[in-house]
Amino acid sequence: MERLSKERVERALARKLGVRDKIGPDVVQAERDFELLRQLLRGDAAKCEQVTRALLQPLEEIIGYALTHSAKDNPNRPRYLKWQKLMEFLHTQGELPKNMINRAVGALAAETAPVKPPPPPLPVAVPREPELPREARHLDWAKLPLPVDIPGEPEPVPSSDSSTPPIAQALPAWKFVPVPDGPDNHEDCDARPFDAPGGLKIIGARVRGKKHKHDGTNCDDWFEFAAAGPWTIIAVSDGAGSKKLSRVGAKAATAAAIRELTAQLANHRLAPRDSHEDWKLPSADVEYVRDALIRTMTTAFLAVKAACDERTSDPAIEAYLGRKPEVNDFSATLLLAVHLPLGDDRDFVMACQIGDGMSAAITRSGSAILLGEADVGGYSGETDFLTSTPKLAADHLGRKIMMFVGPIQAVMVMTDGVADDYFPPEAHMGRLWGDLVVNGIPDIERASDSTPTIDAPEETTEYWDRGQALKANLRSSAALADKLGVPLDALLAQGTLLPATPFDSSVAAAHERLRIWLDAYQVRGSFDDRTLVLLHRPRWS
Amino acid sequence: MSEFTGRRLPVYLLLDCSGSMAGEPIEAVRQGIKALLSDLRSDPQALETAYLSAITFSSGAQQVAPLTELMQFNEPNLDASGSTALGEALKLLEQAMDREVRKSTASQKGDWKPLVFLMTDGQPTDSWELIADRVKSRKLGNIIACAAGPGSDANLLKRVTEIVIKLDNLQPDTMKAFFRWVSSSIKTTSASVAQVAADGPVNLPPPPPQIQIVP
Repeated sequence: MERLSKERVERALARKLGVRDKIGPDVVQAERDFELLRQLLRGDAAKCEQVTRALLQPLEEIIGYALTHSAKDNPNRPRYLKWQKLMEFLHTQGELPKNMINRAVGALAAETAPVKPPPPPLPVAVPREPELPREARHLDWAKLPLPVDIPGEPEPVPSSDSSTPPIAQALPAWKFVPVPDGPDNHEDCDARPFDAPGGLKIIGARVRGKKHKHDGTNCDDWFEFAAAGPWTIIAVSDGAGSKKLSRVGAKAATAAAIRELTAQLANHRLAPRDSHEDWKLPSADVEYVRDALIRTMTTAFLAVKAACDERTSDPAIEAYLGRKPEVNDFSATLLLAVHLPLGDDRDFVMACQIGDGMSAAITRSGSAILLGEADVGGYSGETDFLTSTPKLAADHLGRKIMMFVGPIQAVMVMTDGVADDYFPPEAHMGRLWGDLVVNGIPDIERASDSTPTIDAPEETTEYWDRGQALKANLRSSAALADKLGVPLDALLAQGTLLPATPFDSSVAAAHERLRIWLDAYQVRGSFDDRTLVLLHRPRWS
Repeated sequence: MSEFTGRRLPVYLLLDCSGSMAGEPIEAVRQGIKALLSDLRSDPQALETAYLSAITFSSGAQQVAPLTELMQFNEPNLDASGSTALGEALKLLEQAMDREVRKSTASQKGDWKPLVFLMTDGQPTDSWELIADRVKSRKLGNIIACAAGPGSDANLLKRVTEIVIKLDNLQPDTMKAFFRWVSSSIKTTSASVAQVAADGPVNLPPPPPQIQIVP
């Protein structure tokens, strides 16, 4: 069979449409191509795939066009006008072309979606790729809010802006009280960048929660990350709010975890595999990583215990607690994630956690793969800690190890201060990623210069930054999807098309933007410390 | 405004309105609730999370206010007369909590563990033992029972909960101190940072001198 290039598909379809400006001299060829196209779509699945691939770029451009306000000067406008007619035409042609469109959009969404990871070999639990929502696979682009008539006209402000009035305005305000002098005080907040192996980037930040600021108490969260050979290691911990020295436990646990995993993994390699199928097999090199994570939890616990022992005869600590410290005073959760680039932009990620919080991978198609399951009781606020020793048992932890193999755009590791605001995670981790992107927090290179810009709806919030009352104009991916009239999943699947200018252009450093965003976004009833570490590819693929 | 779907701190007040409370004591409770509301409403975190309900009991029991957002909560009308149907009140509490308190599920963040303040000045007059046992064993929330005045029996309340406190009298100052303590207990509990190990004890602020914790 003949090979179809994207240009030939376009030309054939354009010919059918009577859009002559782009038609080459060979009209006969175009006619032939169109017939060929029809045949291909009837039978050969592989060829059908080829055709849909040819359609991907124009579709991206159309959606990109739809995402922009300044439509008049948009470089995609001529293409858009042509393809808009094409769309109308195809929709009148019955099931076949509709399938073609759906396949193209589906391919766009799933192009880089990883194979479904295998069911658990041994106790390594492997999260399954969630089914792409129907809307994402069959994005009805006839319903996209294409500004057909009057490009350039501003769109109405979405009504969602007014649906949740901020509760604390004009009511008692949250205060900022510095932490009084005391033993083991921690800085209010932290934000750090890091160049991870394999050309990936890390930004991490933690902020003192509204409640702790109001009461003049410490931030109990901590995070660390490091490279070990080709591996990236992330550790995040949340000290128990009910324990006065939990921040010390959080710091000791993360530091010890990084040390242990660095020692365990720096010289460890995973054997190359021919296919995703091969990851299903229990294999020594993967089990080694799992065992390292399990061992590390114990190491971290011992470090917390050591931190307690160091302080048993410290008079300042005794005065602070009113008694000698016990290991439970240092209770903290621990989330671990390790990442290894496998080449060809594929990745190996494994995660384990004790207590609440969440880890998730974001695929190239913008869907979230959960890499954790919080240990929670029936009521909010009840969780497990590293110091609950039964949780360290290998058989318990083994069931909690999550592995993901496939191409990723990002990995997010966070404490419950963030995870609870995006609950349930199955439905909302993707939105978290969307919020990070539409606020322009990570630096991610655009796929092309012609990527449109967009005015995402903004909402002004007030927050405390180390004693200063500040304001930020934040965007929300859900509000953007709402405005465009597309399902959020479908929007997230077009990562490269998401607007990504920083929410505050005066903040040049991505990790600082992350810190400000963590401090500034508002959710009613959410006032815990917030910590998020984001590992990501620095460009859209 | 749409219904708040985040984590709430449900607070149930079980108030004895039997005849022995008539006069100064019931007035002190009224004032105490007023003060409680105004104190909680000045706290941003309680305002975002605390939800209140009131159940009164005398010869019978009724939920005079369902679980309501702090700002919307109206002071209940309290009148003292009749006997002390503690069993009825506990039954009603159990039903209300089963209906109103949200547990964590895969798709919903549950409420914070509820706080229940039970205040009574006398001995129960109905059959209350079985329901008390059930309420205690079901661990519906952190129940704080308050035996108020000389006619109450603190040890008897141990059948409902381990946390029992005693007020020596029903004087306005004592009641005021009690409700202030209730208020600070709610404030302490109404934050996610009051995170506890599952099954761990609730962290209550130390009570004022008028209140004795019954061991």
